[in-house]
Amino acid sequence: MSVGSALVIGGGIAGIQAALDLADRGIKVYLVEKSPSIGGRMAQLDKTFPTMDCSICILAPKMNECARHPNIELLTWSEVLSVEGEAGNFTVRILKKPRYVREDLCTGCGICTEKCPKKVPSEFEMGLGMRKAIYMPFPQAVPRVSVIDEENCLYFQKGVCRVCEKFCPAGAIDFEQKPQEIELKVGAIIVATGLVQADPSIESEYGYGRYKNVIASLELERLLSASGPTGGELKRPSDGKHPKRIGFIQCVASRSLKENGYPYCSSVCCMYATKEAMIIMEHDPEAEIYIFYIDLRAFGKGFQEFVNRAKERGVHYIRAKPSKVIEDPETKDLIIRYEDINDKKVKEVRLDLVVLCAALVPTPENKKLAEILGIEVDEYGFFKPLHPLYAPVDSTRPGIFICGYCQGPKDIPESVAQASGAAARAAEIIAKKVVAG
Amino acid sequence: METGTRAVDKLTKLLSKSRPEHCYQCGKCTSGCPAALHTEFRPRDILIMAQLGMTEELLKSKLIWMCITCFTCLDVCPRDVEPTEFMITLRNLAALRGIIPTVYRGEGSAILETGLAFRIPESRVKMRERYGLPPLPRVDAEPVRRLLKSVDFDKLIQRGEKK
Repeated sequence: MSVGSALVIGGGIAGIQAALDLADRGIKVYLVEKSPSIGGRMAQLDKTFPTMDCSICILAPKMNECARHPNIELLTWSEVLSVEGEAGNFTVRILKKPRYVREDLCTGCGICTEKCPKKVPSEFEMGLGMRKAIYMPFPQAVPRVSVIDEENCLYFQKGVCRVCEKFCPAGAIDFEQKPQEIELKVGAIIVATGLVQADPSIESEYGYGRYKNVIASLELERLLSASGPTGGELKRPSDGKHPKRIGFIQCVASRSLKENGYPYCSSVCCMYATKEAMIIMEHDPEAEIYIFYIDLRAFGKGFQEFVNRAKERGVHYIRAKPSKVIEDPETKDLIIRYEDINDKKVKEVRLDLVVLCAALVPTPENKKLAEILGIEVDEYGFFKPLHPLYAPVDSTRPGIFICGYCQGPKDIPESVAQASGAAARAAEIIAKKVVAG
Repeated sequence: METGTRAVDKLTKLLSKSRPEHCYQCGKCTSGCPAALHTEFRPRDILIMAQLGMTEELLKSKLIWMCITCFTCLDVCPRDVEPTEFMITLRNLAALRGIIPTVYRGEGSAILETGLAFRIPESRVKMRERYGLPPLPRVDAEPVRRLLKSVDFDKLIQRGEKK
């Protein structure tokens, strides 16, 4: 029997690219995403290196194309429960979590969010901004359908409120929705589950979690973004002041042989720190920026030129890994101590804000997903390719392909290229089955 | 205590147990080092010298004796190098060669004589009396001496001494 459809797990840039490639070939694609909207990490970024394009401006059209494509069925707020069968003929069970908002009726007007009385920290804003209990994760979310967060909704927790229901002009609120199980038949599966940032407090000497003005790089992205919690104005957490002197510490918990560290290079931090430095200087040309690095890895096309440009603009690159960050208890300024390797002097620099470029790690759920899919992960949770050189997007099980950061550390263009590769490999299996059919 | 060529072999092997080759020269050890704040001692320097095979130079260097063995470097090292252990091993090797700074020879002989590394001056004892502080506890140096002599420590600290 031939199955002319494919499943893509993960709705970030890699999953989106793979889904669009397959759909354009005439293959039916189910795109499963565990969060309420597709978009992934790239949607959270302010700009992209080395071209300094606005990240969401590139991504949003692709997200909308996914939603409108006749061959793509979006299954957001959904998870994969089980996979059976073999290459060319898989049976997949999907759990569609209840949104408590009917997708066929919601117009995405946002009145429910406006009226909802309950505020909680937003996951999309990395906890720096607030969202409501009924919400859309970000303004460009796809699908444009709200979702009720059961754990924080007053009705679900205390049996009162239902304000959203009262005000919804489309009558889309449905508190009776139940989890739904869907069975799909697909010929091939593409896995693109992306990454999370490791907890920067692993290197506790930098004070993340103890000092308010020590933040993670992904948090900085949100603080720089025009759609972020500060409307794109860089404000430091302790007092909302505009920081003038900013330091980046590279390789926090990555390239580390410590027990709780990650020995690999996260691959993108040197470049995004450079990018973030450039954005800060675009906002404020007088900003003083220090990037503390061990080895500057500007290996991609246009990367070294990008770093050179940052140096010309006056970004200070210091080859040292600081030993500690000390907080001035009065001003909440931060003092970084490091050894200047050029003159072998131990120096200190006083900064307003410190950004930790912590290790990027595969999504923690990968190990569970690998069991469901019957494929292998390495010790860090990256999916293992069948062969690192000549089968980089093939998983260890025929018919299942891997792409993007979940396969190994990489940047956006590489994720997109790999996604197209995985789509081509998946299409091979489906086409073979269709012809042989 | 073995003090002959076998000891040298053992200690040389022990050097690699501190994994100096893992060091990527980030300098985190040095900026965290309390000795580096006041002296020329740079754990990072010691490690690159080790990587370059400059063990001979290290053994003759005063620098290896400046480490105060606080283990901060080991705590902060992202590469799991053990600079403190490395320094201790180098010192042991140097001592076998008879390269021991005078101050450490003094400490060694003080332990043999009094059981304490620090010879408490008479003035200190008098000062305590003046302030009405209780006398310092007595130390029985004999067991310490016997133990140290049984491993030839007394001979070790005299090695290479200029008479």
